[in-house]
Amino acid sequence: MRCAPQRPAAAGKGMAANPADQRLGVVVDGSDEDQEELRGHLRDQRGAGTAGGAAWAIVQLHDQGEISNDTLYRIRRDLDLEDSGCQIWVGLFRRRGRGYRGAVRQAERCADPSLNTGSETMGTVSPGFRGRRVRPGPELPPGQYLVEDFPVLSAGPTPRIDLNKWELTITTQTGQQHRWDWDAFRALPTQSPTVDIHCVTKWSKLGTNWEGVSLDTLLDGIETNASFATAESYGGYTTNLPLEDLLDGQAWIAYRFGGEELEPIHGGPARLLVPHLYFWKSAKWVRGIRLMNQDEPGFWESLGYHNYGDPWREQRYWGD
Amino acid sequence: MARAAVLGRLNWRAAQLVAVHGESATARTLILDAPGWPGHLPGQHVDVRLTAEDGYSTQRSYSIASAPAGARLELTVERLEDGEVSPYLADELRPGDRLELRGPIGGWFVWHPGDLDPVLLLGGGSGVVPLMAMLRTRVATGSTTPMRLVYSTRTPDTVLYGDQLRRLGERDSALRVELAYTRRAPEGWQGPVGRLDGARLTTLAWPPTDRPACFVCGPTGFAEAVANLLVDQGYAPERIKTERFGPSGA
Repeated sequence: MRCAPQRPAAAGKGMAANPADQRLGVVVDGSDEDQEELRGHLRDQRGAGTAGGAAWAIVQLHDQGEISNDTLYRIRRDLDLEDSGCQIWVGLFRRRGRGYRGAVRQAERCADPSLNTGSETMGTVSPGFRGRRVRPGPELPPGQYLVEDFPVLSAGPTPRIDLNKWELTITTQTGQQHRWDWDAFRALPTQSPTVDIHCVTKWSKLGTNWEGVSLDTLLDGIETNASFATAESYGGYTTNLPLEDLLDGQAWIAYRFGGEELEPIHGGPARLLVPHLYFWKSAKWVRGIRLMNQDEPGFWESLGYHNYGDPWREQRYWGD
Repeated sequence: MARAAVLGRLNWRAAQLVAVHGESATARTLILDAPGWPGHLPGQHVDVRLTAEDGYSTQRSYSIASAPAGARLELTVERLEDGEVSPYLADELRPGDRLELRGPIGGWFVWHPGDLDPVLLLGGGSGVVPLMAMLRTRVATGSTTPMRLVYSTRTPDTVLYGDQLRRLGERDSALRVELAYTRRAPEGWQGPVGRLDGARLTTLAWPPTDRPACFVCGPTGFAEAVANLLVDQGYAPERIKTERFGPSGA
């Protein structure tokens, strides 16, 4: 962990603080030393009067280790966070993933007032509003709130899909097609990811359990130099994303949720699952992935929603 | 679909509550003044951000109830008992108080006043709010596009915009407003009581051959059931736009 009061290096770990602005960006890994150092650093900041008020700590973890809930609890206790208005965000990312870079940028923004205007952080106060007084949960991106149920959002009727006619097609940029019918698809090796999902309409659901086939498996052996992908669904929905966001254990074609068959309203028989992006990217009723040399906005991306949709950078709408 | 010109960032802007209007025992309309509001299409929504005195803030989305009218904007908020935001907006926010808005948002569930196709609006509960914006925009623009609203509500006490809907339906021959009560109808009610079914829909809506543009908005159960009914009745799925909200829209 680096504790220099500078912006963190974009590709590494680091810490940045701006005492004048009382905001704090932190990037750490989860080793025991880092956790202790983090606590000490925050205590020092607190002691110097620079970690109270509107201070924000962004803690970045990666697969080398996790900051324990115990550490988080102790940090909150050390800093009297419940009274101070200080919030801690924690993101668990793989170092190579986009989310990691996003969180580093988020840390930079928090530490650098020129990148994050004060009015954005301390907005207009609505008198008498208190809210739940529940701090954003440890894994909650900015502007999100937790739900326990599973809200449904769709732009049209739920399509009726006959499993006997169901088909998944991957089409390369040269037009070469790879097809799986339901039986062939279900014969592929499966994974059971437990992931957090974040909807652009502000709800987040943590620790959801899915079963599906990794896009790494589906794309294995398919030769392509495409940089982008468009997911296409029964019913006509489309969504676009960089191909690299489908790779390296970041995306699945999921057909079970919470141990049950995926319900049609949630995208069954099978949907794309790309949990590190806002959930509209996880196309319901997916029927194909088209690999492309050029990026082409999909359905919501053409209607005012952000082209990439990283929840940790709060990329909800065009221009975010 | 071609991407339209990219808009600038949707900035948060401060808005002030000008007046409130009670709609039912659990819902009220907030009339807001939002200087610099860029205008909207009926059916779009806004993000609302509330910030407490210690900096704690949270965001929710609400449909716009009003036709475009300069900086004036109306939101109708139904109080959800376990909600974090809606009880404050529905009960506590007072004229002169401020909140923050960001929008307009959503380019799909919208009615363009230039469209001449007949419009079938199907609302369940507070799902009527964006549909009301469409009706009001129809009036404001002098549109003669045939419109029909089928509004499903639990009881006469839960009806939003009741008087206004009645007046709209009475003075406009190309507009029909049909209420469907799911639990209790007013005294003297001739029609059935209960959830909309295919037979009821057939008597209330245009036939599928008229190819109406359908807008369905309501809780997930309502939107799912009604969209399925429409498909069953032969309406083209691509002509059916839905907006659903779950119990979490608090």
